[in-house]
Amino acid sequence: MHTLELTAAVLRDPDAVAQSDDPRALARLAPPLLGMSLGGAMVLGLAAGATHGPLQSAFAAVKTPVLFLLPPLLVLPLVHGFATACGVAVSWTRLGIATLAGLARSGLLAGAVAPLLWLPFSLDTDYHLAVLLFVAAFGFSMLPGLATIARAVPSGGTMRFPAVIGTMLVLGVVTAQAGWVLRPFVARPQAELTFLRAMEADVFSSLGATTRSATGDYREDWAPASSGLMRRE
Amino acid sequence: MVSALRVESTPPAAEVVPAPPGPRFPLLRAVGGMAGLGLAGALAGQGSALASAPAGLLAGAGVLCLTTPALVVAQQYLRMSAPPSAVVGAVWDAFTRAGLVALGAVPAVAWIAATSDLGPGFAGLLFAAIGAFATLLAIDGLGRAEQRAGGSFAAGSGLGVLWAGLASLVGLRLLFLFTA
Repeated sequence: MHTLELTAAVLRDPDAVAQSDDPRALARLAPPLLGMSLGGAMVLGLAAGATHGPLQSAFAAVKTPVLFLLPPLLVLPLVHGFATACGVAVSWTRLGIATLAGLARSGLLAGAVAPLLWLPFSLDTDYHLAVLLFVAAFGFSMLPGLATIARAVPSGGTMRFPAVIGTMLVLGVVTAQAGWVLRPFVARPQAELTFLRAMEADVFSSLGATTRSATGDYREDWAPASSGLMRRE
Repeated sequence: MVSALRVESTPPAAEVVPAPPGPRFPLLRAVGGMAGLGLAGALAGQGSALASAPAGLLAGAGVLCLTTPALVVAQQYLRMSAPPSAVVGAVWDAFTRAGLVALGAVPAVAWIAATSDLGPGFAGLLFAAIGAFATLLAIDGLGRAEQRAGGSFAAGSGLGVLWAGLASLVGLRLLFLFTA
């Protein structure tokens, strides 16, 4: 199968690619699907870093594929666990192919929206607007891929609705924290160039501080401390 | 080309798949899942977080031991149709399925715990959510067990709701006991 034909299939009818239980299909399709996912995400990263020059573009191009791949991979066991607990049979092979097909679809969409993102970013866009645009582009490209993964799990079983809601919530938290750990993608204009910032606080404390600032509440100064495995006592 | 792909793949997933055979070693997986979730939450923690890591597993086991006999006694005393083995089976099934979900959540919790200080809180929230999920499964299972034995689904699930209230209170008390 030619890569171009597979690309068309992933975009036009991803379910036909995703819903297979054949391990040989997984081995055959994995490299091109992974390539599409990583390539598209890299292009989106290149565009996102354009606000801060070529080096930041290169940094973001390396980190954006990780942001694409890591959260779904971390949450995949939960999808399998919930499906089994709800009484629905889904093989790891099928989940694997569906995840690759979904991520490939997301990658292709990300690559397609990258020029739309780069255009304003190359014209001295406001930092906050740039962050919002990047998040919107990321969400726009990820959601169809996640829908492909969700459709690969057969319907039926009991308690599927709470299971799907629970999985989505966990995926949201994991993705948000992954974005926080891998930041910056869109760097502040005055900020020093860096590949990764120090691991400090968490995404929710940052959102709280941002919300307070946005509402004009500057009484509490946000002082992020090192956290997780990098905590310094 | 798309048609060629269709030939290679199985039919679309609109079908309702019958319940799969249960996973192997259900108890081992359930216990491993509950213990693993607690340990993952405490991954980056110091003494106190690590000490409270097995609290979820202990609370779950405690709820099973303390409230299942009461459920069986009440069900028999009320002369409901399902045999005691089916009642115990419904609760046991809910516990093992919840353990599977907990096992699946371990990588996500480990990631959050490794990169922030939210690990214990996130693991605690997931324990509560998985406990609620298991309770719903148990209520549904009790209703079905009653229905299969010729009784009404509402009676079985109604008793399940009452049992769930008791189990939740006992579970919260045990969690407090093991984490305080």
